[in-house]
Amino acid sequence: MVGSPIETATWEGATGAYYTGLGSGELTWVLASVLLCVVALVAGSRHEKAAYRKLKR
Amino acid sequence: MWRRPPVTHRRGIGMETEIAALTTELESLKAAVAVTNRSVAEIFYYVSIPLMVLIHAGFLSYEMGASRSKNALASGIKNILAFAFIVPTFFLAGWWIYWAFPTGFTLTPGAAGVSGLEYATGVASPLSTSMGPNLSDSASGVFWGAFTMFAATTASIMSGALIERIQIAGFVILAIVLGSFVWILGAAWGWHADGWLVTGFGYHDFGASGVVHTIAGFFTLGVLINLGPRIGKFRPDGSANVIAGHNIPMTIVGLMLIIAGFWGFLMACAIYPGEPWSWSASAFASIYGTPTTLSALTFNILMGMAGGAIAAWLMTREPFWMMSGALGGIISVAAGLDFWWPPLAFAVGFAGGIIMPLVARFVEARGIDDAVGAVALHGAVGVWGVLAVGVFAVGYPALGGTGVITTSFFGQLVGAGVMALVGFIPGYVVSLILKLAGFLRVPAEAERLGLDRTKVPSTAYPEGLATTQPAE
Repeated sequence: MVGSPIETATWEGATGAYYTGLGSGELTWVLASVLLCVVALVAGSRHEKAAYRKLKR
Repeated sequence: MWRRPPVTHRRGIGMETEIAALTTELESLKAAVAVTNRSVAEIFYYVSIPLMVLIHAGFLSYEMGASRSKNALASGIKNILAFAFIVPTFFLAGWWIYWAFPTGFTLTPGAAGVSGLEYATGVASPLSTSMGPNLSDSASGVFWGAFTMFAATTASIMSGALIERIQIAGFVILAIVLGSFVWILGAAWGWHADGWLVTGFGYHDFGASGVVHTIAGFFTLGVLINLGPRIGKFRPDGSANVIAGHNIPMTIVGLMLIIAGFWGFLMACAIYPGEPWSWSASAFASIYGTPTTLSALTFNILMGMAGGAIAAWLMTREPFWMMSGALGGIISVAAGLDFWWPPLAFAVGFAGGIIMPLVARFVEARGIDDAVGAVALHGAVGVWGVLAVGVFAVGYPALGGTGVITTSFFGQLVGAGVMALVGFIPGYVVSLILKLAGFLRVPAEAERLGLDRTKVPSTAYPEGLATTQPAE
């Protein structure tokens, strides 16, 4: 899921995609990105609601 | 015994050698030119991105300045989050939507061969090898980046109108819906060579008067209806109070930054020539494949901007609206930016500068509190920009090639209507759902105290705002 897809210890002849985890990690990190966005939004909303409750007290 | 070869024979060998050398040199030069062209194309779009970041610096400054000091940082947070959430969500969904839906919801490919389910999944799915570092693809990243900035612009357009009373979570959801789903669907339909509005109606919207501004403005209108006005905005008799921002100079400079950033926005609307993905080997083209030049854009951006600013001065005598008018002038001419005779662009921009404050007053008179006039500036003036093409620029081929559909008033009218509805309906529906779920409006106590003191851990002006006496 991570690491270099270039199997030889040289950039000679390298073409095409070369990002970390090529061919094995794409879906994992796409789902992780979605999860991080959702978690951030939920946590941010909870913090905001707590601030409003505190103000009402 | 050595004999000197015949002269003709020696000349033949020399010529062959020279031809071979020249051929090699020519191939080398062609390869070098190709590398240069590819690099300049990549840099062209790369540079448009920081220029467009100026739009967001401008919106940030403008929105914070337009807020009262008790809400300045909360407005800033809202603006920053819109930008930040648009980036990953546009990567995950928006870019794929643009390439998948031009022909409608059928996901079928169009005549230009650059749309539909298979094409979109190949080049724009978040799982595609084009959507990451790739030595064989120097275009996808910069194109995606430019479109991401367009997307963030739509969310920032909405952001300013909603200041001082919207919840962060509700706002972020609205920003994602607008920036990563709604406007890009409109762009697929009307800002793509396979878009059904383009191929079926000859819709022309070079600089996104409709697909960015109209959609964002009408989406904002839908949200404002459900959000309601700020406390104290309207008197019991329905007349409006002025709720002044705490730093109007900051707001005005912000507007100027937005205008600076629009040069990046509009340059990124042009397709660089000479690449395998280009429309032309020799000249810039619009997103539809019709020819244009950066000079054409330059004439008309400047003339439209000037027209809008002067008209807004005549209408209001007020610097906030003058700078909004300058922006409105650009929005007015954006759809036909590649066509206008510059003095006509000045007049079209001038009309936009007149329309904007009139619509802002009309919206306010309906009891809608649009804190920065976004509905008027982007929604109404965007419609004007689209219709202006249908009034003054009828008969231009709407696509590259021969025998293609041409621009018409009817086509522009249909396009403007579609853009307004594509914006308004989801804006109204999603904000209504958020309202019913309790995620839209902050409590009245928080609004009265100020959102900064309620939920922001830092203070905009810890030493207070200086008050000065006028000079004697």
